[in-house]
Amino acid sequence: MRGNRIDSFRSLLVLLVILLAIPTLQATTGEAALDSAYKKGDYLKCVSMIRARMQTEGTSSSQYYNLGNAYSNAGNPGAAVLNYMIALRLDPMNSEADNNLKYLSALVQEANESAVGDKTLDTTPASPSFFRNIRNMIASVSSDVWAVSSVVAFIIVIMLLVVYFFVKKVSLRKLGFFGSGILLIVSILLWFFASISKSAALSADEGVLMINDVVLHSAPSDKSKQVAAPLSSGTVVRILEVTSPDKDDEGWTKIYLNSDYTGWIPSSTIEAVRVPELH
Amino acid sequence: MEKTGIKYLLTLFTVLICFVSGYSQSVRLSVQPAGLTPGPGDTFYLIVDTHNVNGEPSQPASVPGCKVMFVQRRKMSTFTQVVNGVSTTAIEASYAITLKAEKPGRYTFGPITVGGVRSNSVTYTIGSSSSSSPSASQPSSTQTGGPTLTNPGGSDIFLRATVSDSSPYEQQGIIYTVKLYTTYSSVFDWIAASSPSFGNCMYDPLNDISHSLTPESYNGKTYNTAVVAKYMIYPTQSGKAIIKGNSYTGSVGRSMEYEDPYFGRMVKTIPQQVSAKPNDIELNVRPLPGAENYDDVNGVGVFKVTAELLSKNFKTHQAAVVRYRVSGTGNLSFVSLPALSEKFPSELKFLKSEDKVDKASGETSGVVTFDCTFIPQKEGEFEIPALKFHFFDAAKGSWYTETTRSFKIKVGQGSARHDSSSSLSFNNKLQKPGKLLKTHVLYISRPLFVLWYAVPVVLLIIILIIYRKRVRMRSDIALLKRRKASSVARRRLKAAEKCMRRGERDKFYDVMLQSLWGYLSDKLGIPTSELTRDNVSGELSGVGIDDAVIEKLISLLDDCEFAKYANATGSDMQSTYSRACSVIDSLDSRLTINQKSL
Repeated sequence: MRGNRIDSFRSLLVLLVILLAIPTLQATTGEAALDSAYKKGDYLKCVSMIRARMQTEGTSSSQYYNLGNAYSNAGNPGAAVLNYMIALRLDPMNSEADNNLKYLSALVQEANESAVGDKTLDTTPASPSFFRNIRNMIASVSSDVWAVSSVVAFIIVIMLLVVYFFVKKVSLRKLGFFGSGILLIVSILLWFFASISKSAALSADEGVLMINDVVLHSAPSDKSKQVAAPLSSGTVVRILEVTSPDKDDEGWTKIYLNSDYTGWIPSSTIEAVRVPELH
Repeated sequence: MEKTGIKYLLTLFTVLICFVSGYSQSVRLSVQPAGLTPGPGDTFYLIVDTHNVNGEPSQPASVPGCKVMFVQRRKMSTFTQVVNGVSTTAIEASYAITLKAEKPGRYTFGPITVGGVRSNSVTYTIGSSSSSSPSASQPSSTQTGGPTLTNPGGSDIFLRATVSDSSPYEQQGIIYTVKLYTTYSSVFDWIAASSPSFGNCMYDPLNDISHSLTPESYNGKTYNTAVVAKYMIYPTQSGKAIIKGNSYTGSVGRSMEYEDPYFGRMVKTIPQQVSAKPNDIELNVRPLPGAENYDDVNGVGVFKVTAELLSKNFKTHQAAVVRYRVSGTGNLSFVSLPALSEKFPSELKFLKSEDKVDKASGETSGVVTFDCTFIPQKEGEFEIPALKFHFFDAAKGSWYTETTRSFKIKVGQGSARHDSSSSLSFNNKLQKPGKLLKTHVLYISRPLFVLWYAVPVVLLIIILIIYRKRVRMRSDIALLKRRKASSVARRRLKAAEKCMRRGERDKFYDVMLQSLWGYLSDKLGIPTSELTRDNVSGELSGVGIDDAVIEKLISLLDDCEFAKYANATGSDMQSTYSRACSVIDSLDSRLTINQKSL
């Protein structure tokens, strides 16, 4: 009788362990299946597997990076660049995503250059303005890192104030007073950096061309003059203006790569870099 | 001969119109469709034909056994005839009152009055069961079960779904067709409520849907048929897949006979709303046998592959294109390339492939072209390797491999200004997915993030408040001590007096010193341990005590200490006691005044 109870207890325990293990087991089998599909070169299957997992379980920077790699191998630089950029939005310090994005962008630029032909056109993206450069530098560190440093600086401010209020020694009190003042400014600055990094991560003013040989137009119409040379999929551009689609018109987007490449393209050929699940 | 016949007829017609139109007025009621017994829920019409009546029938408040839906004018015509200089005008109009049958039974309606003219009355019967059901075939779960037929108004309408192969291989394209069978003469506005659900299958809608009815025999009966939906479907997973038909709605023309006052028996078509749903189909999808032996499955069907270099000159950092052409019959839309990024040498970086599907006839045969862009990174001679495509022939049930030719290319020096891309290398490893989140909320966006700032500030404020309270409490104690200093000192002096009387010399000076130092400590707010003669005299003169009094105090303290430690016998306890009393008195009066003025 007693033995029976112990047995049933043990089996219950085993069951519990198995039940707890099931989600991790599923996850690992999912990863193994993804790995084998990736190794086999079935990249489109990888894409659908990652997408399915994103829908059921959620996303991460690494997931988008993996999606980018699958697309890149499948010969779709547009979707690859887009997903690397989203991976960097979620984690600006994902160095592998940054590396692969740079690699693809360099190739895309070479492809753009090859399409120029006899014309004299510059295909390098315009160098960003002073303020945009600063913004990009701030955004290369995650908003969360800035926010945490701001809080740490603020807590040190409070500690220095405690020193100022309660310690009798004049030199320490001086340190407390001036130190807290300086660190308070630093903390506020770091908070601003956190919000700048956040707004950069949430911005929708960058877009990636998703289709090969996108032709720029001088006005939002098929009949208008063509501008410059076609751009390859995977080209990253600034989005300046978007027209809403009409009943017989699909909608147009005004893009900016540099002074040579500014014009209108059909909105269906471009995808704005946006992370809907990021807040 | 023929011409005179027509003339004759025309004359006769004119005469007839003149005769009938005359000046007679009439209102005639009739029920349509004639001879049919509508059941509850069915609609039927009450026709009001007026002749030379100036007015319109109003919507009747109630019609027995029915619900009145609306009144509609169907036609109106005016004839003007001039005969021998006299013009006569005949107006005729026809109105339909749409009724919905509610209660079975036999009813009589009428007469009604239109424009002052009374009509006849009509009798109609409402049957107990619906004779014309607007909803058509019920879905059946299997294909063998077949669609159920219903009989709306003596006519049939149903949908039948079929597939070209009910046990296809994975990825093999099969055609799904939904066909409409009807005995109605016309069908219009046939609209799908949604697209069918294809389970685990990919699908492509096909365009060859028929726009007119063609007669076909089914189950020994002749129907008018039309293909209403056609899809190419590609099962993606082996096992069972169920294709669920969706519902369609449309209108059918219902032919009806009625008695026309002028033309006798006429046939007319009345539109009726119907809806129908095709049968579901269960597919038994077979896995591709031996697929695990191949690196990748590039397609299912019969294909030929050719390769062609589109670019002629190759330079570093200059995009070049190689084209692969897959032509044949099979799942064209799903033909894929082998993994090129691995097959291409790393000096020729593969960038992108663009596929174009060109369907020659129907859905299954045609050409897929893949334009693959690569960018040579180095000068030298390289080889674009031969590619192996693995196809599965579903008809034979066997695998075969198509191999393209390889290309040797010579890459020359291109523009020299890029070395960025060649220095970079692609990281082809996958990352661990890490922590998966449905929403990523940045710290700064969280409403409670501000607590990280607020809580330390609040803590600091609380600490400050407590500290200040304690300081105040401490100063209160000092005040109390100062107030009670003289009484404490006097109590001690009394004790000293007792000692003096008992002749306890040591103890007397002890108590004496205690009372003096204690008094000074309490009054000045300086701890006893920190008191010295110097700071006492300094503090006292700072408060405004006369130097004489201070001197008296100091000498008293000196004497007491001398007497205590040196055991000097000379000093007199009585005089010491009285000196102490007088010093304390004078200090007390002075310090109290000072404190009050403070």
